[in-house]
Amino acid sequence: MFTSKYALLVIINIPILLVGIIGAITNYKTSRISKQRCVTQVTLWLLVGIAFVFVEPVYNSLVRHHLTESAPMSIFDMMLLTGIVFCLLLVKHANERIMEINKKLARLHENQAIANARKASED
Amino acid sequence: MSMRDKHLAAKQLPQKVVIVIPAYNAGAQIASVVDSIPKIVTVHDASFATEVVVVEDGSKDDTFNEALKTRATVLRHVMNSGAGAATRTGLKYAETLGDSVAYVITIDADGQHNADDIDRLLGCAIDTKADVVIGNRLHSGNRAAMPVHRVLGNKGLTLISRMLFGIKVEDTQSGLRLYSADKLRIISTYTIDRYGFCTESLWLASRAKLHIQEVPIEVSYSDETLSHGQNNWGVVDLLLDLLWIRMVG
Repeated sequence: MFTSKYALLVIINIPILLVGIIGAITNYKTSRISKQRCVTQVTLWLLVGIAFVFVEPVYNSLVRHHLTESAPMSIFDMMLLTGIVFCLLLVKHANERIMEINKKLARLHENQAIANARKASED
Repeated sequence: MSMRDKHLAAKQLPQKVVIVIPAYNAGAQIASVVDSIPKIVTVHDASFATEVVVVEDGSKDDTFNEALKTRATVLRHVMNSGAGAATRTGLKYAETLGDSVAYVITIDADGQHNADDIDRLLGCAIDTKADVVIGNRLHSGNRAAMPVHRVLGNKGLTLISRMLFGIKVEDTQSGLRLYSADKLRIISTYTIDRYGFCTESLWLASRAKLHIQEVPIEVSYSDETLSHGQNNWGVVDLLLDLLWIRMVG
């Protein structure tokens, strides 16, 4: 069913998808993200994985029904797709770091305002 | 017996209501808003001392200095962070005041609210044992007082809040609200720093199955009042914030 390129696409991306899924579950278990966010992220990664598994059958079906004249996926296309998924992982990670920093900043700001007011009332 | 019931039962104990006023560029009205809040509020034979907390959110005018001249405790943000962030700072401050606080009420700094409605919110909270009481501006009695575009905008946001979050409140954007002090830990965990916090805090309350009530309140708009609040792009911002937290959590 699978030619080697399509199988390679799935095999190369499985580690990235696993990192994404495990990362989401870890963040939920360590209370960094909510359950809803965890479910959203895991669903997203699973959908990407499922899409990769069905790339060849969908392409073959489109060709059969004359819905596309695109050439089959090349090695370059495969590397590009892998790069995009990897960038998605980096973006997700960066977004989570930003959110964490945002929360810390908000807490710092609040505590500073309260501490300054307390100090001013004592003076 | 809950903490609030203990306070209500032992009327000889000092009970306090903290009034939180997030203020941004409200130098012209802040003193009159603070002065309009009574020092003691008595509802159904229960008396509450009021402590006013103004959270000055990095204003460009003299809001901070004007607030200092009043009886309010003034907290100051070093940079403008949004109405939601300022309100959260006020709620967090109220949490630090301990068991003497029975309720926390938020009120806008632009003078659109009537301080007499504080009694109404408190009365509803005591009668119904509500955890959250919203002052509803959108009732028919206010039709003349509220500009049409504000009514339509608020009703639109209320409809969107209902669709996205299932919140069954008529005025989700009202700044005049009462929170039971023992539920502040749930309410103050909202994440939106801007105006979307009004909806997010209600979502948190409904997810935690808190008892939410609404009471009709008065509203009065002046040119000064109308110059505050959200502009059209602010509304788009708000909708994007709400969509984000609904989709992603």
